[in-house]
Amino acid sequence: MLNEVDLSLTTPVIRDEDAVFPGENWFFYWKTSASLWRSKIESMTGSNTLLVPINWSFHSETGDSYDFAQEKPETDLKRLVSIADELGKDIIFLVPMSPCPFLPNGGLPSLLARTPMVDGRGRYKAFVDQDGTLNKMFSFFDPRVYKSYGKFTRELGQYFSQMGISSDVWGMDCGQISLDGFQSTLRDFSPVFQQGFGRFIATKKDELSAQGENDFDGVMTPDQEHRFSQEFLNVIRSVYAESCESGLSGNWEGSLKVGFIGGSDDDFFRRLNQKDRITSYTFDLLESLSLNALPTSLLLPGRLKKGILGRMFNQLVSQSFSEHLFSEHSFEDEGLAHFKPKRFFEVFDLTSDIAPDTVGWADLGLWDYLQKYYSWCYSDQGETPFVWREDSDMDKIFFFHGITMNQKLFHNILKTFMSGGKVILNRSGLSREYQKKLEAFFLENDLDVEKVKVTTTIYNANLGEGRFLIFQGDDLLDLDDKKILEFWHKVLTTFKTNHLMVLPPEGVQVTWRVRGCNTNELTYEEVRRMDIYNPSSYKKKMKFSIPDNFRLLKVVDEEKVTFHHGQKEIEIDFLPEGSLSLDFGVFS
Amino acid sequence: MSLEKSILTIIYGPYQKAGRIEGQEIMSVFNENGLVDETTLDEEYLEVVNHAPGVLEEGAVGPFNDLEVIQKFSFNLCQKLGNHGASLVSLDDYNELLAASYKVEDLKQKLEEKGSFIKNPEAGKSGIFNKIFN
Repeated sequence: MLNEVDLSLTTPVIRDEDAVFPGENWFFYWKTSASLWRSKIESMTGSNTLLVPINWSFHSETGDSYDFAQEKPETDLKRLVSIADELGKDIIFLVPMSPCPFLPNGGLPSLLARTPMVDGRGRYKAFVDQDGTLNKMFSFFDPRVYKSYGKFTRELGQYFSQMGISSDVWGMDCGQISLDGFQSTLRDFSPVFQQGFGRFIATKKDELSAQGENDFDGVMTPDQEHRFSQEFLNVIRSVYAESCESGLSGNWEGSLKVGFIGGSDDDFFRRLNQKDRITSYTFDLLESLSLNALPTSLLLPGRLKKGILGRMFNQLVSQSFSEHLFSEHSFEDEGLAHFKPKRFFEVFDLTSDIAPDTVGWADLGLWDYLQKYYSWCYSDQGETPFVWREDSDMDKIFFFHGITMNQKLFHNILKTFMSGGKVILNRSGLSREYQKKLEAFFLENDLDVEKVKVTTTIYNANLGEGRFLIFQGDDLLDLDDKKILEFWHKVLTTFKTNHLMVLPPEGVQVTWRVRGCNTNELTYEEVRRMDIYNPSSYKKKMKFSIPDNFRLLKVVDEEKVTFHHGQKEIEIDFLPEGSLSLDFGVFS
Repeated sequence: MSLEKSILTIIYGPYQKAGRIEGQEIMSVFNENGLVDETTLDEEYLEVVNHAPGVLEEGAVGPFNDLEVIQKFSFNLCQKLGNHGASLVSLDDYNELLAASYKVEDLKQKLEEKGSFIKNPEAGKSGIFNKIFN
């Protein structure tokens, strides 16, 4: 029997993109006359937040002297902030900490753009902008660049302070989304990088000799080279981050990763032939969100964003991820209508000091499983250090590799478990020291540790709501893909995630968002929104059942779909580029 | 643009192992569909060089003893993918052309003009009649 369902369109109509508003409420102040700022900002609909990247090269050609309204009126950021205030808009400034794909020379003042950036294959690095312009990148490893950067952030900070600009400032780590995850544009293999790396190795050799470690004599093994190269990259990264933080301390909020969709190597060579692959961009958008990188469409032409891609950016990024990232309101605010991404899992992977051929979660088939059954409802934390916080969501399941264990991580994992969190530990590579510490912990707390054989031996301990599961990852390496999926399914279905598992047809993307309940929804624990997108050029059909603890509340943002709803079943016919969202009340 | 008129571009450069140059490798091989996938490169490499590649990722494969082997590989690949021809560009030339280009169209044109071109004699013969009768 077909039910009548509320079919509401909630998404504001997308504004025409132009050079000044290239996407997701980013505002390029240098692309228009200052006399037009007011009318441009007034025309903005949807969000009250403007993301404004600071264009270093626009304020200085040399990196030595700076223009903040002394010469060009378009450099008057105080005027911009005042206009935004009058119009009821908030400005968030983004200061680049790595080369910017959307700016000529990567945003460097022309006198500092000396050494072309080189990728791992020796190719000069460039990005294709939304109008087909090639933006060539220049190395941030040039000492002249990071010295000038220090001056830039100090001058900017002083200007903000003198003008009474209190807008939030975030440091922007620009990057591309690739098979290896988020690749920062800071990464470079140019001659200046090699020279700096050489000096770094010489310093390392002296340090290690002084500590009595004589194994390293300056001739590196490939593993050592990888480790030291990552260490050097992190040292230079911290130089830029610390410059920002100290120069802009009055406004500093932190740093964030920004994923430039359309900026991967594959995209570059395809766009060289003026081809675009929407399915690739939609996938990268979702991948960027799972990597906790703010996705942006700045490199893509406006015509591509009139269809499903634009809807996805609007719904998942502007209205959801961005709002949650920059909003001052907590998720617990009762009046909050914004959905945030739903995350069941937080996955911490190998750190960059570990040899690159070490078995990671990809080798253990975890991503394949999570992608298939949990549709982007996970957060790939990569090598981000795990920090336990009192307000951490203890309903999530945390994944760790034993080989990355150190004192701080060990301490934080135990705190998580004792606070009711769920931990899954791959003990392959776990040192004898931490194995003993774990055993001692279970003994001292009188915890029963169950031992179960599921392909590999699994140890499981419970403490109140907390759960600690340990397995030997190496035992999975000989399994075929099907058996690995079965393993993860057996293990993860023992955790009560309360998830509606659907297997969409190939090419259809499903993602979930969540918000708290308002006063009319108190019978539910939360409201989840299921966003379903068909970015392909084919019709697709999807059918699934609604579990007893899910109640369909409404259907929103229908585009090119036909929706049928029975008592317990949903059936959707998608045309090419069709999409819709379903709101469910969820209770235990 | 029909596939028959499209060009396969190959950027090649020195293959380095433990700091020594030991031949050549293909750094990027792409057509209008983007970088050529690993599986296709692997299969083609095995046919030409008769052993598994030491370098294999999307759009990259190697090593090759010399340019002549790269040319043979490129010709075979071009035929397999049905491209009109292959344009071989050295890494140094690619970097020079990129530095001198302002728009993507400039770079594309320069890569096709300045590269060493190998024509695919089979291009344009894979029309519907060819498919029916073969």
